[in-house]
Amino acid sequence: MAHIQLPEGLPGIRGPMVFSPETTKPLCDLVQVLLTGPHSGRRPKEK
Amino acid sequence: MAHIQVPEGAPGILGPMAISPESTKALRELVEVLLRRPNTLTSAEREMIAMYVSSQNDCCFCQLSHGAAAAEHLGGDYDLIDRVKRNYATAQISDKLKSLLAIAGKVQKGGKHVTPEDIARARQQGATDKEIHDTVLIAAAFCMFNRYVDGLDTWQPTDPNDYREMGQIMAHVGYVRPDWEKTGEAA
Repeated sequence: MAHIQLPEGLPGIRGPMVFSPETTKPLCDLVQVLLTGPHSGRRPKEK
Repeated sequence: MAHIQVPEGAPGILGPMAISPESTKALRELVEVLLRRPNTLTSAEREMIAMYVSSQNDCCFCQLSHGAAAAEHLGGDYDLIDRVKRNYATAQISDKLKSLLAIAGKVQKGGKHVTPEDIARARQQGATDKEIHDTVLIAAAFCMFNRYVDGLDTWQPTDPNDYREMGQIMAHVGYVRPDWEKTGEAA
């Protein structure tokens, strides 16, 4: 069990992300820019 | 000189932020939510967590700038911030904040260092799940910011007085402003 009460059945970061939607938005924006932005090489869908 | 070409005279994170506006927008929004959006932990408390983790990571820019922001939230109480940095256990802060700083310190070493006993101690002091969550995320995010700043070997003034104005802006204006990167005033 996680250290805090998180939604059940969600693995890894998805539990805390559902728990805290207001921090999840900028985190997702950041990951989007870092990993799928135009300067980071191939996009995942192009694999 | 930084490891990569960044605008001259922009201290710490402001250099790389100026050359990467897309990631900067997300990073600024993240830190605004983490440190300034209304929360049961005050902004001063959250800035202290950021400052403490940054000091444990030996990141000069982040510890001095967020220390200044914490002090400015407290009407300029730089002495308290200095005591928290040196030894928070003996500083005049709440037992709840001490228990959260202990968790933040464990996250700085690595997430797996956080124990059920650390969490139980925070709960005994009245910390909620949300406050524990936010503490862990602030600590984790500042490990990222610290590594961003130091991994590029940015220019970082070492005189705490150079950070006072920046701390005032961080505390009272905030991290998200449309013209930040043009003025280069604060991170």
